[in-house]
Amino acid sequence: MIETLFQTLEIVLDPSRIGFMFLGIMLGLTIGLLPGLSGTVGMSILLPFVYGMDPFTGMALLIGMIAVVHTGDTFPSVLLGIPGSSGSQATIMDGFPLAQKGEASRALGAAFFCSMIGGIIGGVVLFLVIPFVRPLVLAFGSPELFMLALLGLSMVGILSGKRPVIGIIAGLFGMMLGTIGSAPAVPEYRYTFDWLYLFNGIPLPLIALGLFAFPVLIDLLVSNQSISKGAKLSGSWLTGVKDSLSHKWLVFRSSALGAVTGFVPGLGGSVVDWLSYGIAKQTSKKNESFGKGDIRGVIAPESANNAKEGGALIPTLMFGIPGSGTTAILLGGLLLMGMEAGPQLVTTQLPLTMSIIWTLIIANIFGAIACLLLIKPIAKFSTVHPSKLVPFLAILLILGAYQTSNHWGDIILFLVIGIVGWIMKQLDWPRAPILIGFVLALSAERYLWISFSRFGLEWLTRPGVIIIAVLIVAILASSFFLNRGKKIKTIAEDKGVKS
Amino acid sequence: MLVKKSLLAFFFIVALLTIVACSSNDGASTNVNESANNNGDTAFYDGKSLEILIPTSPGGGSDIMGRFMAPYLHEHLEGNPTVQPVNVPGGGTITGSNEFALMREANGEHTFWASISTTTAYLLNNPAVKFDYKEMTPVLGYPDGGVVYISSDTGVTDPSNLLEANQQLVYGGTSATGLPLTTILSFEVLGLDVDAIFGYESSGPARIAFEQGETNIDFQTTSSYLSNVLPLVDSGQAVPLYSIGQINSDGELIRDPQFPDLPTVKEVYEAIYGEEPTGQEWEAYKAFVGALYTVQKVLWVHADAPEEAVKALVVGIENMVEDEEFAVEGQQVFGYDPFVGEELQSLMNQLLDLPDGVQDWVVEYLLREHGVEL
Repeated sequence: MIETLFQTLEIVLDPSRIGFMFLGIMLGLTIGLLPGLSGTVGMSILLPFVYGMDPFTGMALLIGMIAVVHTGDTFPSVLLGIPGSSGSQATIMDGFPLAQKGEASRALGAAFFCSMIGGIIGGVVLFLVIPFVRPLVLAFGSPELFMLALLGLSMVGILSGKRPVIGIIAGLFGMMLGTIGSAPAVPEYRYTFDWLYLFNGIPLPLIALGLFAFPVLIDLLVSNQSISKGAKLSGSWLTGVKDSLSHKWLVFRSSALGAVTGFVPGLGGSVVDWLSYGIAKQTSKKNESFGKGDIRGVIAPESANNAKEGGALIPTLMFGIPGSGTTAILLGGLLLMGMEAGPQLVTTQLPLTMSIIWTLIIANIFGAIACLLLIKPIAKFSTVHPSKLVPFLAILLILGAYQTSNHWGDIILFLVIGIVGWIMKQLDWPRAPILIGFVLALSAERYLWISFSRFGLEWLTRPGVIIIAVLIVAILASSFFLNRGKKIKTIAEDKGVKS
Repeated sequence: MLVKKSLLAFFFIVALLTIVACSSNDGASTNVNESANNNGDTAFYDGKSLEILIPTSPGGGSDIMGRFMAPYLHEHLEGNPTVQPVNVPGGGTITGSNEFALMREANGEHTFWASISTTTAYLLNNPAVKFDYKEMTPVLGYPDGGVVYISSDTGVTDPSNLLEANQQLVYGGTSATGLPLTTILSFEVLGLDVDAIFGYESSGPARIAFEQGETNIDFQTTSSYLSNVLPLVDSGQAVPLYSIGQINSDGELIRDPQFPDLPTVKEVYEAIYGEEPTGQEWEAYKAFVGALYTVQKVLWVHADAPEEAVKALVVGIENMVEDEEFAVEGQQVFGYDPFVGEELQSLMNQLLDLPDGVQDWVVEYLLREHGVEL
């Protein structure tokens, strides 16, 4: 296997293929940079062009694009507080406050460095997993997948901060939104009001853009001052790289978490940044500064979201089951080049898989370098006055929303969800739980339904189910005790002030 | 400074507009203006464009087929129109189908690439369906097929001892009114006691469930069977039972040309019971195999489109399928030989016209056996 790995490097480094890879990287960065556009859009653009290419070249183009979307999407998250794609929402939590303090370069430096490391780790995981891929995928039956969805949902508690009750209600609201559209298993449509647009459910990008981007537009206009509030752009990206190095353990485990989450098909891929953020917050010492501009809050999601792509390719390539819209189109691309996903990709077609791993790694390195070079010109956006910035952003966001299904319903929903998001922001209610509930609602329902109809109550006793259940209880208990500990402390402090 | 900023902003807006424009009308269109084919008379499609409306999101099998044929259509249609595949996803392909029927002008410049979900919704009278195949003319049709296979853990080694499985048979699929419909009808014909579980996201995860032992009998369409199930057969984990088959012009169920060695449901029935299958379930099975598999992917044009447009499409497509490059490359994409021209038109009329009582019986069967109310 190692031998094939190095033989493939030669194929990948062929000048014509490198050219296509760079084309992919450029497109991926641009798409990440533009709020509202995700990897799915990039794939749809590239798909017609791969027809007739040899698989190695075509994959260099496609994987080059996928690999760096989550590198480029950090710019708007940090600089504007608007998610560049649905993978970098959690970065806003601490990246944006850092930009407001004028430390945008530091946050971006850390983000790009971690993206690169995360992406490389994702590629390495993909490589290491090849010999065990079958038993690994087969270990997750429907009951285990249901428990993993629950594990993701249990993050809601952590991400709700000081308002656990509102967080849980928001999470449930998100789950309700997730039930809109056709039900799994039976030909029934829920809450569609006979509007065909809603038959497929609300598109995820609309929820993300509405909740996180729309409120920023309004607040920018109201505040009438630029994002960095007149602060000078101080600090260098090198500080960010140093920050990441001093938290190397966090970078490593967040990347590992990202790769593993990406690998579980149909689950969590689009909330991996939140999961990583939540876990980092939960397990870090002195975590009070999270949400106020803690560099660890940038490192965790950024390491995870690039690592996710390597993980997500495992079920896509080897089993032909895509975990996301992007990987679904990738399967189509393979077909156009005369290849099919399946077990043969780790036997007779192993070199192609190896070339994908190389492309992931190389693209992540060059993507990060390109972004580091772009920090200086692009960071100036945070000093632009809102009256100039907002019209431009509004067009971008509305176009981004409209392209999710090219239906006028997209714009209506974007505005409605946006207003909900703005009200929640004004009240300082946690918004991430809505997103997590929304993403996981359908998988939780689907796998719970299948588990019961296949195994009755028996599935509750499966070892995998019990292990994950213990994990969930541990997470919930720890967040409960930590919160209580903090409360006692604050009460004591309050008393101290009074007396 | 300001100039620099506005330049940057300008660049982004241009990039965005390009991206949005491209993502909705992808660039498989070929804009070359060739006049070589026009000898005096102007061809209908000269200077016109032809849209292929694909009712799914980009990347699925059906989408790939539509995109694959776009450049060949451009080449072979007289007048060399610009051919543009356009995705209108949503509503389980119904959104795009309705949009084609209700909102696209019947001027011969729009075609519609229907798939199995479209036809299933149509046959089961899904209330959201606002289109009628009777108001469209088919110009190109491709069959599909597939194989039902069983886990070797069940002790079944051959279709003839199918009834002697040593464990409860469990089948997993998306929903009783989706792709699994024909499969569960085949179980009904064979009198198999199968526990059918629905809710899987697509047939990929359902196949994984089979490998995990969560289910022990499964169906996969031809391309997925060849790439993902054959390795299981070779390693002894799975045993192929029968192909879904095709309906010939006499209305008989025959073997799938892709799987000449696999029996049909009819042959399996005969091996088990020693007589030919009869009854409503058998009629229903044959009718749905015909309507959903014998010609599965169909390129439709409005029936009231200009006559010369339909004629140009029929002739152009006949030439296209004769094209050697198309035939060779297309084999990988489509897997089967196409139907074209008048043969296709009369075949579609026959296949979509379900025998009396079949539809009512299927609706009643779905309610009785699977609790699905239509």
